[in-house]
Amino acid sequence: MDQLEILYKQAFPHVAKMIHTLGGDMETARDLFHDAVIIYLEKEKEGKLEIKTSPIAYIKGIARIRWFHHFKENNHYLPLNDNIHDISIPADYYNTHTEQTGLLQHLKQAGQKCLQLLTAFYYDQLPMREIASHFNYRTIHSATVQKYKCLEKIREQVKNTIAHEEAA
Amino acid sequence: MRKQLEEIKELDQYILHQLNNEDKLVMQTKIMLSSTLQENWWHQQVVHKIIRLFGREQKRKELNALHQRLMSDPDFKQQISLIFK
Repeated sequence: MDQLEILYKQAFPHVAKMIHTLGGDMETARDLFHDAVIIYLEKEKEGKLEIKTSPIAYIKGIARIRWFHHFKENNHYLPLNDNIHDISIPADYYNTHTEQTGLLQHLKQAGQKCLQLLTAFYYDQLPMREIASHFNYRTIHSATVQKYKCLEKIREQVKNTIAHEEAA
Repeated sequence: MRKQLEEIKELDQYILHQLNNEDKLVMQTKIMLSSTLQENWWHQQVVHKIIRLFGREQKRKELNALHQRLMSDPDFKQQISLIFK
């Protein structure tokens, strides 16, 4: 059993109970829990975890904020709670522009392999040795060069897509 | 590496705050003086936002698969179902 599975088994029942108490259903609890785990893992990778309690309590805290946001999006009254002020959620988690989502859909068709390689390096922060092996490059150097070639390719596609959309 | 890739590498280090103060100032000046570099810098930042979006999407897929797998375990499924009963 890997670390993520252990965390899932331990933390999800706590979040599920909390969301149920707040009036949410199982699907909402699952989605908010997934958001919370993603934010938790990102902060952990970036060394930005401000944990004063356990990881479970931290994930519950993020899920609670997400629940209030979910509530607000659905035009409900937003209750105040003093216990959640210590936890911050990345601004781009809320402010993902529609054009970026559209670009991503386009790029997935045009450069799936490059996106996967870049994600392994920048988002998952895997070591270059592991990336080289996973993507079948003979040396770390060739994987590194490929990473920059992919950045170039995706950057060109972004440029062309934006130019094309602006012209339309 | 060819010149264009070297430029991408330098821009990347600038975007990811990996340059020392001196190199950062040099890069800021280069960006100010070249509209092409300015444009490349802007688009490269968009690429990083896209990578983040894609990374989150992949992680969400992984978590959905894990959820389904765990819910196929009768004990875990019962534990969760009892909460929403």
